[in-house]
Amino acid sequence: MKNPRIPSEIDPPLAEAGPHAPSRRRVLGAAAAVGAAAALPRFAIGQSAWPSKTIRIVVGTSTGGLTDNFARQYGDFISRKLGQPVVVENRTGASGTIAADVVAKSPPDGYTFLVTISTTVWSARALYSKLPFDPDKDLTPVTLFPSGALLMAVNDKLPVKTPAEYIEHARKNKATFGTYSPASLPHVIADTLGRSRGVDIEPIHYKGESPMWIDVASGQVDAAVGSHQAMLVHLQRNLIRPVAAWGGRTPRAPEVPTFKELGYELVGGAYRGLALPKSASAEVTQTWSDMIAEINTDPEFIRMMLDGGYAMLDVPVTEMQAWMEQKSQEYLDDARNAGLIR
Amino acid sequence: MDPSNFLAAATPLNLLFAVFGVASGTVIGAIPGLTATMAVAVLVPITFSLEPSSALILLGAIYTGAIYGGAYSAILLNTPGTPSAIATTFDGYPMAQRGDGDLAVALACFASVFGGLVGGFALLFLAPPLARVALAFGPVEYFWLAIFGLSLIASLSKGNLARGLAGGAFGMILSTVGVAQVSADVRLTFGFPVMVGGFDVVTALIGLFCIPVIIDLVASRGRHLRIETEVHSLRFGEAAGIMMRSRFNAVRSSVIGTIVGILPGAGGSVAGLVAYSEARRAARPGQRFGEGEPDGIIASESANNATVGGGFIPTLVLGVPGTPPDAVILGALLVQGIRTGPALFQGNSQIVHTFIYGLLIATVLMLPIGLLIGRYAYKSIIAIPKALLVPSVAFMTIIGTFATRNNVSDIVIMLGLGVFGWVVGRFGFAAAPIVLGLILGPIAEQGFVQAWTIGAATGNLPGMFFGRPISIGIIVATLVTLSLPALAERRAMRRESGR
Repeated sequence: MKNPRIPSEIDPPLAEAGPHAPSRRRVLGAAAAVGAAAALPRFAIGQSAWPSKTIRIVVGTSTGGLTDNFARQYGDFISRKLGQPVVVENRTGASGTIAADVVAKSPPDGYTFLVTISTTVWSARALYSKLPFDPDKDLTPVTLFPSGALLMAVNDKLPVKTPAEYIEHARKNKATFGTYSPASLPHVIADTLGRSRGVDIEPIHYKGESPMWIDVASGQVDAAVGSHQAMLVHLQRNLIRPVAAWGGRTPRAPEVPTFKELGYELVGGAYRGLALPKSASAEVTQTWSDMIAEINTDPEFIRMMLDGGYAMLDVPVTEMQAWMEQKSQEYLDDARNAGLIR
Repeated sequence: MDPSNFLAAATPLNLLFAVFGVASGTVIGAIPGLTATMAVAVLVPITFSLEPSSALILLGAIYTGAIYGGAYSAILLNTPGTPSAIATTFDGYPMAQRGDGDLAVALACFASVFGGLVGGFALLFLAPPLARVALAFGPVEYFWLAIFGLSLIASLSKGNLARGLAGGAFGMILSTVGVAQVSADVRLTFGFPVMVGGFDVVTALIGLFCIPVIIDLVASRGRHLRIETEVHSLRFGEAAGIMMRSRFNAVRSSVIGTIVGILPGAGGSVAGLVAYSEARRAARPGQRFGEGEPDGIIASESANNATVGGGFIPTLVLGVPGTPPDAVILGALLVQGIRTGPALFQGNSQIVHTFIYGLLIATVLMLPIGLLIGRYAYKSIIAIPKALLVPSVAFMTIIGTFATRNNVSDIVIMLGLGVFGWVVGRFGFAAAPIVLGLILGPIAEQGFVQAWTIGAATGNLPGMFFGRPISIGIIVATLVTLSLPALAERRAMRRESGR
């Protein structure tokens, strides 16, 4: 019943990127739940048994992006499992804080949840002195979605084959480095790289990955860090060259060494996941945690994720909170050291 | 170019999807606030269970229909149904006001189909080479393109340059409210959390264009639009004649639309504005743009529908969405397991070619469907009593604004901007320059900041801004457009004195 592809394919990236691979316990447990047909935990809200109405997923990013895509793919599977329609609502703006605020103030009945990328919530804290909600106090992180390792790539015409050569290039020419948003992970990486080696690396901010990779491919910008999926087209045309991986070697480009292997201590990461209002009961959060675990064992879903270059992640809800707080603190410390928080 | 792909596209089911897509897209696009992006996003979940090529045909048909549908409200209500139709209001509404609304709607249909076909054929035959355009455009080119678009303010404001510039500047200030384009600094929110999200373009469009129309309708006695004769058909013979005479304009505008469509970060509204600006520059003597000149509609509508095919080029070749609806469609493609890239166009690329043929079929179908819906829309808008028209339009403005971001405060902003637009309109300030500033301001700002940072880092700022061939071309075009009103004035004066 267990899908043998999960652990073998994801172990390497998880070494750096995630808390742990889906444990045998979780996978088997979820698989058993599938076996027991409709054995999904059901709780009652008021008079009616859950779920009795439309499920609402609030997403802080625009339609069509990676985070939104995750929301819609999970939404599709959730709808099939629960037999209830799932509506994805994109509440964009203010680095995802508007969406987070909506969910923080929603009824904790298990019908509304947030799909977000961790950095938007973390960077929001760095960027905005006054937030309408407290990410720690108003939201419960429930589960993580599959994660992909990130790659640093440079323009192919640049005589640079390693991060060390890039730093040498920066020492002579003052290099540019693309980021997909200010205070994002690539921004922190660019800054840490530059500061740790005493060179000037100028971050160039974009809105999203696609325009950033176009400018790296055309040579406007020297280098950037991002997902394999977004840079793939330019890799295929040999316009950019991967030089290091962040978050573990990726099955998509296993020959590329990690920053860690090359001796760079960089920040830990960006995670996509699901969060509920803090006031949701333990029963509700457990149900959603199990639901995602169950979807994560669906062969069709696994195929889609592995095709996209993602490694399956699985963190039980009981460990989520502490894990997120630790990661959030690490990220904020790094961002503060990089001078990104004023 | 395998003919079997054409046959695969022309199955009864796919034709049905194309008809349904175009019809529903047209209706959605005609409603202010309901944009092409939204139309596509709403239908994406349905397509997960379809064959990939059928799914794409349905989405492409909705998209192209919605871009066309935006022209109806632009012409009949002076309110662009989608941002792409902004330039259609410039001459469309004046035409409708003088009783030529039926002709304008028919022209919009012809132009949209023509532009759609040009963009579609570019996608079919030239996608991989054309995708390089996206790579050739760096931050500085986007900056100059936005400046070129803004230069349209000069010609739009007809002897009212100071007011036009003030409007454009105001629009650009509005665009800076909220999170900054590049640095993520929070600006001009005056401490209101709701301002952090900034002013949404669609919200501003509805407020600035539609609310003044509603106020005027309520405040005036006469009918909404003049009717010259009893309406039987859409005067499409006459429209076809005008299209033939203006074929150069249609071709030029469609090419502009295709190229702008390829540029990620521009889109239908910029395409329509650039094509309009070029049509105006190339105006024949006697053409009066801005006062109901059919060529204005042809330019805007052929360009914005050409962005559909154009926008698919980077989407499919580079995996980079050319326009906002393409971003949604790209998401659907990934769910369908289609990997974008140049390989899609080589060898056995059945899905993509079936889709492109389907898109072309849908574009052709837009002609009968569009004329039919257009005729119905025109008849109902002029026949409906004002007491019903005003509340229904007012209702649509609220729904459309709310639908954009599901945000109640956007409705307040929309109404506030609407009343503001009406009041300043009494003093000769037009809505168009404000909206131009709001749309082009962020493109200019982002391009400028990125180009400046890169230029400063590489120590070659002048070369960055003034040393790249495409930039120089756009700068020249901008200077020509800017000097045009002055030149025309001088020529007119010389003619006067020569008499």
